[in-house]
Amino acid sequence: MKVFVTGSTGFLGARVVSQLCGAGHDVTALVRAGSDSTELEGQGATVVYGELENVDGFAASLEGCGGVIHAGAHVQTSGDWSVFHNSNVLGTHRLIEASVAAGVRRFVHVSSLGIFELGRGRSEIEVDEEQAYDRKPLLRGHYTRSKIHADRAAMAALKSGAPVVVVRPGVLYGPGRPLFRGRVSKRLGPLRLVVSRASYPVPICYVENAAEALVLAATTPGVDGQVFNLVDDSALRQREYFSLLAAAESSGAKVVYLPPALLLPAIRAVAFLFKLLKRRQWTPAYQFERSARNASYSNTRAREILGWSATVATDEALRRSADAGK
Amino acid sequence: MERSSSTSVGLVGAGIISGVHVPYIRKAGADVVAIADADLGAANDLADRFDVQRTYADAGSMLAAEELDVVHVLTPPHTHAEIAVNALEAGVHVVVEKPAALSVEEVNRMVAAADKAGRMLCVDHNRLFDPVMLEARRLVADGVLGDLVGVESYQAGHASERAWLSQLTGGGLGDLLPHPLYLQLAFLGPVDELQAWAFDRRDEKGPRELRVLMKSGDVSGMLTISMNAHPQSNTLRLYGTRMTVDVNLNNMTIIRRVVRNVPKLIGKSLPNLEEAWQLFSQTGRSTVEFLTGKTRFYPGMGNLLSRFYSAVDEGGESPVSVDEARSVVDVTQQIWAAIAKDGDGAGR
Repeated sequence: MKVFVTGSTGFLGARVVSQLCGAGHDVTALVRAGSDSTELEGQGATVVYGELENVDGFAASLEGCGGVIHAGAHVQTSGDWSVFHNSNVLGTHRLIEASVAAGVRRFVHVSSLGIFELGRGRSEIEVDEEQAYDRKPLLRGHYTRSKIHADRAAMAALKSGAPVVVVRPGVLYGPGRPLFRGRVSKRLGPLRLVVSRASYPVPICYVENAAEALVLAATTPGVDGQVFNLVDDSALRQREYFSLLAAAESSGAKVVYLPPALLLPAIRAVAFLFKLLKRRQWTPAYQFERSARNASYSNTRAREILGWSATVATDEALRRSADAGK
Repeated sequence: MERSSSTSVGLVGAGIISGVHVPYIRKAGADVVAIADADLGAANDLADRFDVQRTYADAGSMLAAEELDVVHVLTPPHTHAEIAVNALEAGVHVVVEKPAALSVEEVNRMVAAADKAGRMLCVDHNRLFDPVMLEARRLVADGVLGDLVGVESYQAGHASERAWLSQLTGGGLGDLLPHPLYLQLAFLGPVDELQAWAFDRRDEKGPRELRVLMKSGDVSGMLTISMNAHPQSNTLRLYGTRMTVDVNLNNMTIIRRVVRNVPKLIGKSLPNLEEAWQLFSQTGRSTVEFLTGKTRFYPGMGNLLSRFYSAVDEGGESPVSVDEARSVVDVTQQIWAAIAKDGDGAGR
């Protein structure tokens, strides 16, 4: 099948291209002008230069494609909202429009598990594919807010009958990226302080496993209109994760869990003062509250409908990632 | 007011007025589930502000994807008819911003679609439902005012800069016209005769002054819009055989003047004192109501939408009839036709 991949030089997109090429698919990779495309071409991919901000500029390359995997996005922690909006929101919307116009039979949108509302309570919350979006997107960073809007755009097309599949992976990790060490955590000498509880879930996804899910989402017949949340292991808890991480890194840092409830009053006090003085919300407080939530994510749909499973188990995935970092 | 199964509402258009509709829709017990706007960024911004979960880049996709009960058409006037007809044909009730459309033909198409689908078409003639206007309408309906002989409305203001104003006859003035006009027509009824003058075209975007004289049976109407006069003002005066009523729609006061059979000396001062007292007490009350949040901006819209959503739930009548929607558009067309016929100013 001819597959068009965006974000093909990115952390996830590069793996998607490798897997597709390895499986004998005919890959067209969208690359920003000035990016290094030698590796892509070495794998046999056809390189098309263009930007998500200007879909019309490369839309002709969508003709004849059976599938599109949209793994590209402007990923930064700072910068103007308009850049995120044009690239991630309008880029996604227009790419879907152009794909439908070009007769693409399957559009896979890569979203994120970070887009959801997690409520405020302390009890465990089970997040499924129907979970509402974060009700306060303005308190999130530009990137996450734009991913919420992009997910809305993909869902709008999906619900209007376009052949869209949405895949929402958890925190991605793998060689080339720092390992996950808790959403809020700090190394202190021989200790690692982690703001969480040992029993809380760890919604992570090894990048190769996520890429496999995307390839399946693009190539499996009959899954149009499906949405898949993606974590390697729904049952993985902090305690188990950090012991696997210690084994993979052979490091001896002792993990100390700081219950979020312990720090919340102080965080809220700072937020209150901030609001009083600056007349606006102190966004880190909201992000802290979110990170302290006991949220679990199921991968049941991905397993049952896509036939996906985490090919690389967490211990092995952590070992590979740790080795690559040495 | 909570309902077991909430009415689902979609907005088409994510402009300034959309941010006014959302809280009033929710207050009426319905749920805004989606927003459509060709400017996807505007739709998302509004969705983020009001925690609306889904957005669409066009009304058609929203209608196809969502199971809606009601759609609010809040786009520029020249786009109302097509969007409203599509929504009605999809089987949803429609609330449309004023003016309902640009021509009677368009309104007729909308009404035909509503009739065929058995759904309500309600134009947002919101100021008719401002508390002061509800009181004024009650005074007329109950005969407290006696027989109505004249209606005067005066509006001094400016139109906000909007790209679509060029699509509207009269430009900014055309954008201001619907409000005073539907207020007049609510009292006048069918217009038999009409004269209109538009002048001061110095800014090339259309006239800045408009005077309209209307006759409906034995009642006369006079409508003034000035984009030059200051301060901004929005008043309606009703002349009856027993009472004159002054409604100030900006300041939310309603002054009644009645005949007093008192000695001449007191007769010069008593009406002033009565007027002063009405102003004083009403100002005090509305200040308290604003401060306590009981009244918000566009209170008429709240009342209108609360009636509309009760009608959706209980199968009642739309708070604004399609005849009212049609007559405002009809008289608007007559006004501009009269002005055009006369070339550079007066028309009759």
